[in-house]
Amino acid sequence: MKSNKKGQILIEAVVALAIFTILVTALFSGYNVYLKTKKYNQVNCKAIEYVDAVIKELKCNMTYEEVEQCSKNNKIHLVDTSMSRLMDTPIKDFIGTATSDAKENCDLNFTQNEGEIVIKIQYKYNGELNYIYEKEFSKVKYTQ
Amino acid sequence: MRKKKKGYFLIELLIYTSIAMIIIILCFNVLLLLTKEFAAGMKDSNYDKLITATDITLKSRIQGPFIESITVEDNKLKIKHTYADKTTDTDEIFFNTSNRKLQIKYFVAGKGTTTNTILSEVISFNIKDKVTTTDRGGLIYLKVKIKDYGEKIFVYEKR
Repeated sequence: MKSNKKGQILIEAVVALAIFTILVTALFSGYNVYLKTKKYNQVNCKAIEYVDAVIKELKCNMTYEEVEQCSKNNKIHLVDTSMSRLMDTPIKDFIGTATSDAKENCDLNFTQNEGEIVIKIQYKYNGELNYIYEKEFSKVKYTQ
Repeated sequence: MRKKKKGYFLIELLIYTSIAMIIIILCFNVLLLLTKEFAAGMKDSNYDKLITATDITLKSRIQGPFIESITVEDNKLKIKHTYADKTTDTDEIFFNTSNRKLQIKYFVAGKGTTTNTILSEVISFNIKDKVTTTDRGGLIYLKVKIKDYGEKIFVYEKR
């Protein structure tokens, strides 16, 4: 009877440790989810801000003829996704045909819809997240 | 046999205590990290609210009614209004270096010129009037660097 009680202490300790470990694992996984969500939100905010600025640049700092010229390539790449550079450099200098090796990319896809050019802007982040933010707009509708 | 059992119990207890200690230390570290993250998150959230309020204020001024012209002079944004009765006034958005605040100076009928603060704890402020084609109006870029927050760039269409 006496030895039985001693054995119970060991089992109790092991069970307590197991429960504690499960709780700690849950806490760690929760923290991991939090970090991922935080990163996702940061990328999302940056993408929205950048795509919004690119749309404004296309609307206000490019003529329809220039957009038409770009649309001949069907798809073009913006060589940088920095807002500071966008502020200081003309949008035309950002346009390239080669894919960028950077983690963050922005592409413009042009399609013709009933005689007007529709531009689909894709912001991609391929780091830990495989993130794509898309926005579509028509140059004619927005500039009339 | 009895002696062996006693020794085993002590080792068990020691192992159990050491494992528990390691887990508790890990737990405390995670808790500490979470507390710091929570504080940083709260701070970021407050700054985000401030940024949104600044954006609304700037947008209402730059894209408001009766605007005749928007010019940048000496890192100051000057918004000239011409009203239906032909009277004119000018709003001025500028960085006050003495108190490190982003401020707006505007005219209020009956009160004269009033100055209000848009944003505090500003480290630097730059304005860029970016016009690359003459027929589309161009854009106004405002780059603000805020203490403990970082850089924020606001973009507005000139209408």
